[in-house]
Amino acid sequence: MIQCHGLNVRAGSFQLHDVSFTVPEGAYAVLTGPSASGKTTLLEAIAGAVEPSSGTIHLNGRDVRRLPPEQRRLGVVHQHGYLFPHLTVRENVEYGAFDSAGARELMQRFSVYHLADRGVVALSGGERQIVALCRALATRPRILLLDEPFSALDRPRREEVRARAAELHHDWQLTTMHVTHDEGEALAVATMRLHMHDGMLS
Amino acid sequence: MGAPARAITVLVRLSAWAAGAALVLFLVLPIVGLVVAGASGVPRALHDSELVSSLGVTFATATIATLIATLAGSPIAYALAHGRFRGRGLLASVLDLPLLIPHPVAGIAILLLVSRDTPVGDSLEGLGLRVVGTPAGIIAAMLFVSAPLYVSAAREAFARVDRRYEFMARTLGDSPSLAFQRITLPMASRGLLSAMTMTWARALSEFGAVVVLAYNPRVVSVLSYDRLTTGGLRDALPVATTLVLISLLPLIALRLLGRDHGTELVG
Repeated sequence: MIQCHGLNVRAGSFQLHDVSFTVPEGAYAVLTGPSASGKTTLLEAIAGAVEPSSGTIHLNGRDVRRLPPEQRRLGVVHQHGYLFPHLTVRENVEYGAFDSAGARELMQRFSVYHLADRGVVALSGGERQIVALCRALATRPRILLLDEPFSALDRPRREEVRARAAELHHDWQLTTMHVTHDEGEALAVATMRLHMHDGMLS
Repeated sequence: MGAPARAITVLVRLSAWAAGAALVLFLVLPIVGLVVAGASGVPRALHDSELVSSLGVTFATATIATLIATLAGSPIAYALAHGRFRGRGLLASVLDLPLLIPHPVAGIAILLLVSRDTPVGDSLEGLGLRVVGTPAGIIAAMLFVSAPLYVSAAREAFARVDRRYEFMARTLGDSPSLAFQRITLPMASRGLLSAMTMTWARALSEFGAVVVLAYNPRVVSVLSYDRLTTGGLRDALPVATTLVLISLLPLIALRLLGRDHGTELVG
């Protein structure tokens, strides 16, 4: 469960104002909104990349404002992947993995196991996003934060990956928060919707 | 574009090329001339025991100065690249200061600090460490002039690594120090090696500050000056040529490090 209450975040000249919402355990919340409306900043505040100036964040009932990112037990997938370029695909997925068998199973499930021993620099944008998703899932997080995670995938592959991610979401009872610009994607996966405009939820 | 305007453009372009070519020639010709004139004396110079000993002192002191600059400068470089703290700009400016001081003046400044009858000099003597006229003095002089270069280049190397990589590592369970070791350090390694090479090259060729602090034991730059003043150009030439050829080593290393910048480990 993700609970934010009265959240104010200042990130450079940008600000989130009094953001409050609850994503129940196991729900799939899709966060939409125009560019620069604060969607990514909100995910970063939940993940611990930026510190709120006021307000509370509870993850599965635990106040995490003072917790560093490594203790928040969540998986994060950014649209650029941020795969570690000096490691292979396998090393990336196993980086924080619960176990290597699980990491392998995820690579097989998302059809990237054949890339396991390749460096990540040569991967396409879409392959990077899938590997980044596997890397986040391999830690067996209870909460998953996705920031435009499938934006570089072509439509058939995107639907396939989304379907497999949805299976995992269901099987693992993952609480998911997914930022997207794609209305079709939002309709396909959301069990709840949030919309952000100008640093505020509407 | 009319004919006169086109002619002016061509003239400006030609002037720019001519000025650039003249500068390159000015920078390269003296060095090429020196190597051509002195190359034949290098094999004999390598049997010169004073030069061989001087090379040993130069390599050892430059390497130690580089290691100190790396160990002490890397945390500062990282903080300057990614830290958000009050006085960051001031710290960066202060660290650039040694680059602006003429090197003999830098030597005099260190001499004032560490010579006998000064609190620092007395404390160092108490610890059994004499700086003036010893390899420690050479290292101090080399460190003073080269460490700012290391900090500046290492800062660039760290700044090129997007902080999100480190953050991703932390969401995957790493502590800040582990994320630094496993992600930032390897990703910045090429830039850091390049910074170390530059620092070593700078230390290797230092003369002004070294000659003030420690004329003896003689590093190669001091030896070439010594030979020039005592024996003239003919005696100085083989030593100077050897120094130029040695200085090519870091240049080649930098070229090799920079050769595949297209696949820089920074996303």
